[in-house]
Amino acid sequence: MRKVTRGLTLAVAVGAALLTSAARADAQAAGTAEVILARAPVERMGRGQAAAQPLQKGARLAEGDRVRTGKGGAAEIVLGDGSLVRIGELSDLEIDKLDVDAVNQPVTSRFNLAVGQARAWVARQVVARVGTGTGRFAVQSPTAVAAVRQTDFALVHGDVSRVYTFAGVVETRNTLAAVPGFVVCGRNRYTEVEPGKQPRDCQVIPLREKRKLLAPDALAVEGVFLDPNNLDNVALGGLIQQLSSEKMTGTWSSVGPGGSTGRPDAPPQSAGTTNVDVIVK
Amino acid sequence: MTGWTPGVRARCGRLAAAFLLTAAVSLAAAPAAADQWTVSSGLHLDAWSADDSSGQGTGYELLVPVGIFFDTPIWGLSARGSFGTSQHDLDAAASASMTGFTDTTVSGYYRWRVSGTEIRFGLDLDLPSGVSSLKTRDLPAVQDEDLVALQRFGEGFDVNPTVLVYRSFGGWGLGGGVGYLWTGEYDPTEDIAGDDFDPGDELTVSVLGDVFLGDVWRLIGRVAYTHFSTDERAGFEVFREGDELDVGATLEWRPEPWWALVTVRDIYRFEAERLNAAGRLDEESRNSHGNEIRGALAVGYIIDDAWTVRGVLDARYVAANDYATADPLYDGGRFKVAVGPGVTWTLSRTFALDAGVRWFYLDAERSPVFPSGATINGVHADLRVTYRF
Repeated sequence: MRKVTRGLTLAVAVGAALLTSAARADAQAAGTAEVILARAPVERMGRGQAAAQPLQKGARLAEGDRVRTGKGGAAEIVLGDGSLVRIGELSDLEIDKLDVDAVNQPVTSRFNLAVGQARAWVARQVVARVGTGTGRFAVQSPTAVAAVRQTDFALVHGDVSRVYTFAGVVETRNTLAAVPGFVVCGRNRYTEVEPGKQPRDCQVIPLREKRKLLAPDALAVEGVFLDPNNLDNVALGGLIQQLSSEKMTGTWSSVGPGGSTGRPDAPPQSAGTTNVDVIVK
Repeated sequence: MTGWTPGVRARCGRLAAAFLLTAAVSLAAAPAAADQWTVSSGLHLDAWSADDSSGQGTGYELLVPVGIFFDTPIWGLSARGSFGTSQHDLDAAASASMTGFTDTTVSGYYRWRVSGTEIRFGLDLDLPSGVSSLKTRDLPAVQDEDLVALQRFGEGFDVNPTVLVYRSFGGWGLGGGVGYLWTGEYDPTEDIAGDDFDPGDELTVSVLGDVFLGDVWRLIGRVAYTHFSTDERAGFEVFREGDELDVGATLEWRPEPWWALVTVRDIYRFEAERLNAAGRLDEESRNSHGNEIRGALAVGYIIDDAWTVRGVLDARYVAANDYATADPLYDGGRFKVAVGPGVTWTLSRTFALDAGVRWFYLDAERSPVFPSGATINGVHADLRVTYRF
């Protein structure tokens, strides 16, 4: 993973959904986010508190809470509309704002990423509210800003900023008004922004880089199913298929080469568009 | 069926050990992450019709699979099974059919990472919930593996522990695994006494490697070797399947929104052991298995976050075996090709629907399964619904 410099702030504003993601949404309380994964070392520091406490799965985070991860640590939180935020190792994320509407659906959520790496997956149903102007999803920092709708993306800030789009469409631009131009990257593309320069043209995310980015220590979501995710699982799945799935009756697959080999010892009888502004000074 | 014999005690011991191991896996795991439930169901249909001269007639199989999975980042449990019916209408015989549940597979795994190496312990149990004992006249309902997804709905109680290891080195990765399948005894016929069948156990060792070639190419290669122990019928050794060498490679191209997979697989089986004139198992004089080559091509396009379409082409070729054409064990080989479209609709992160249909053509030469040979046309169709919560 690229070394991430300090000073990058991630702010996410989340519009509430017309349709809620039932199970997760039901589990949410107003103005809080639920921790669904907490892998040590990870700690929580409440607003105004001097000492940090270990973060536990199931904890509810509110405005002002900060989550900090150490080497190998990770955390994932779910918002009321089902949107996810993953914090990789060596990161520091503050929940700056969690506003909800009259029916307790998130309207505005904002996070400040002081250091490290984060991945945001925005629930598709948010799009409808974003479209009506009653909700928005944005990423913002003193040096970079991204506003998103229905997408899955990651920000990595080192000597330059890189915006990786895993799903949806992302618009990236430099924050400097004097730097014109922007690029719109679709699925499986990334762009790079150097301070004071226009974003580069979109490039395919190299598989090798994607594997590193979506490693368990980095931004692979572990708490729930999400695609794309840890690329090592593809190889591991090949072994599981050969040693497990092809052997068991209950795991039959549709016939065809590559599917079940059959037991040879049987008895021998007969999207919507997403707009993201990433601004780097 | 056998009484309370040492074999029965051994099976009960295996059963107890399996449950204890499952419990240990469950209790030892201390999930520090989310609990993800997945429920999956749908429909699967195979339907086919053979040429008149083959006498094979027509057949179909309809299955309703149900699966429930519980996963955390480090351990998981699942149960999968089906309810269905299988029918074969031979031209010169009464209709044969079987209807009911299939065996139920209960699986568990525990995984963790040690210095970047992924280690996974798995345990699969095939519970004998399925239809296994058929009337003799219904045995033709056990259809060929190229025609239907599931040949037998039910067999014995099977236990399959596995250990897998995989490590990524950035641009490439290497993994391997070993599994041992204990197969249980079952009664294949309802109206024939003393023919309980106990398939041989299977020991499989597999090695896999993958490498990224450029920005959008990935090559996965794997080799597996399986050793079979002896089949027993009514407590007597009757057959031992020859060991199997399975070599395959998959080339993946994934610039997205386009993607493609090409897979080639060669399966070679060594000589089996059959009863000789003295009633003892002896290596067969010629190999009863011809070399098998499988190939698959899948091309897909991700339209947007919700819709993905794909086309699939599968092919399977099995060469004639080594027996003389006049020998009852002669198998002239076969060729099968299947082609068709598929679509995946992902409504949300928690709900997805997948549908696919493939038309297939099978050209089977004369063999013990197809005494007159056969050319068969048919379809494989799948509908699968997945919900996560």
